[in-house]
Amino acid sequence: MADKVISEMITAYALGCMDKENFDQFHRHLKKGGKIPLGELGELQNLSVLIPSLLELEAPNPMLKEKLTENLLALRDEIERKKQAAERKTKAEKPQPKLKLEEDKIQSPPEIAEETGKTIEKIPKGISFSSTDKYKETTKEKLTQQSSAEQVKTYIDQPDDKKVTDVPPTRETPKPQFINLQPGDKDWFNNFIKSKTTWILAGIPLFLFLLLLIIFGSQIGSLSDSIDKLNNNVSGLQSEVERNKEFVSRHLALVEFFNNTNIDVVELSGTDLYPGTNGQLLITFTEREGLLKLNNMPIPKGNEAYQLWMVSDGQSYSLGVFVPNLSEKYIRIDNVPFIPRENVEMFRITNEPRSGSEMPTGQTYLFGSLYQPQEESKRR
Amino acid sequence: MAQLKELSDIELMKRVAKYESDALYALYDRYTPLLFSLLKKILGDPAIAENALVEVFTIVWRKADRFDFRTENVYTWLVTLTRNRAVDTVRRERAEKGQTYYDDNYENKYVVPHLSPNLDALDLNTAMKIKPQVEKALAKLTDAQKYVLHLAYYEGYTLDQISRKLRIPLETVRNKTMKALYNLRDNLLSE
Repeated sequence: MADKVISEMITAYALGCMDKENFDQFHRHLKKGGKIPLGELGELQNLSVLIPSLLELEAPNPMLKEKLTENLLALRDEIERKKQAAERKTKAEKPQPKLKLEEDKIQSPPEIAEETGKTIEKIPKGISFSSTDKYKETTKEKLTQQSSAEQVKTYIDQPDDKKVTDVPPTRETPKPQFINLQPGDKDWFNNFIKSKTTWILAGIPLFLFLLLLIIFGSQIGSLSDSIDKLNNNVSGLQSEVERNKEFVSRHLALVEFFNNTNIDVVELSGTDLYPGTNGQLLITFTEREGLLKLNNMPIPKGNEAYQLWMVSDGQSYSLGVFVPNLSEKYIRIDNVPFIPRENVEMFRITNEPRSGSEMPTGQTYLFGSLYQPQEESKRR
Repeated sequence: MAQLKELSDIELMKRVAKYESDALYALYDRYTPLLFSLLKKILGDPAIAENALVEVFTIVWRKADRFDFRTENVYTWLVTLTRNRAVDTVRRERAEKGQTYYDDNYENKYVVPHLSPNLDALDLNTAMKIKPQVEKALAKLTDAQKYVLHLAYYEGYTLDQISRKLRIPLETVRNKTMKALYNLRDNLLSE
């Protein structure tokens, strides 16, 4: 075990129970490459995540995947930018010279092992609490057995600055070969150069060959143009299909929703603080789902979001937390609480943290109540 | 999708890093029961746990490039990320008003895991296989050690907060937490 104080620190770090100040200090120390038993820290981190493996497993609502899809769609632009940046980076990187292939094969694994303390052999699946140094030894042994023993052993044991220069060459440089012409051959060669007929005879196939090359070249060029055009068409069609799929999936949800009978419409009006805003809540108490449409709602700041509440007997029940999205006209609401329609007093939308609140804490933006037929008949 | 199910955690993660959404869904299907149960345990309310689960996988999608592929340990990364996300919510609720700051830098520092580069490989299958041994190893701890682990891991209390809650010196809490985790390790090795 490492020094007691260090062990206490890495325990708290692995369990995630350091206060922020200590965490920041430890994190900086770790980043700067300070002396921390990384093998032991890794063991404790692996150990702490085994604790939840004992929980009784349960699955969430299967519809939750749709919410994830919505989030992914909302992130499309960000991801696209990241993809483009990655592509630019890849293009900017020059290809590595492929010389000394054999040397590379031998050199790279110890480099990785030096840097990370891990083996290049795939670590056998399964938890192991053995120290990293042991893995290092294993690497060395395996490498020594597998590749040309002397080269690797010398490499691992040598100081870093000698590693590149001292690796023996594995390929012999080919020596230039000269053709020795005999006197008889020389005469034949001179005669050949001088002979016009031979020149013409040699020129015709050359000319034909060049002609064919030009014809094929132009055909290949036009073919590659056509392929490019087709590729563009295909990618255009693919993106159109994606757009259509998205459209269909969005509207299918609407169609499915409107198949329900007993849909209530709640007109939501802005409070005095936010008079220009309004919305509409379509809700079915039999299927416990709904659709929310918002108009002129400001985009919430940083970590804020809107939360929809259903108020019954003075208690507020959350119907979901959401951030208005320009691409989504309707916000889907699942899992409406089991509360009889007649007990619902009102609905309201408040400003809350993105993680959601258990009770309304922020300002109310919109409110509205259900149309109650009894009230109407009383008025009559 | 059926083929993706056959892929290992690390192969799926490599595809996620290339923004292949099918791979993310495969990882979601594989890990959701464990991660949702963990979120529910920490956050209590199933609806809040569901929202947090979606956020966790959104972070995975956005931050897969921060995963250290050399560790080949998707399990520890995902479970730590999920636990960090849940504990962050719990700590915010406990904190005084005004502590709502959350941005990309904050997320990178306090929510996205910082794992040791010397981490042994571990995947969901293996974790589930050794569950009985972990259970036995945990059962061998004293009640005080189990309680302190529970407060730290599931309740999200820091060492200072545990010290104040239990009214015992901070030194004692540090020592008890360390002993609890090291004993758990030793017990597991002896199983």
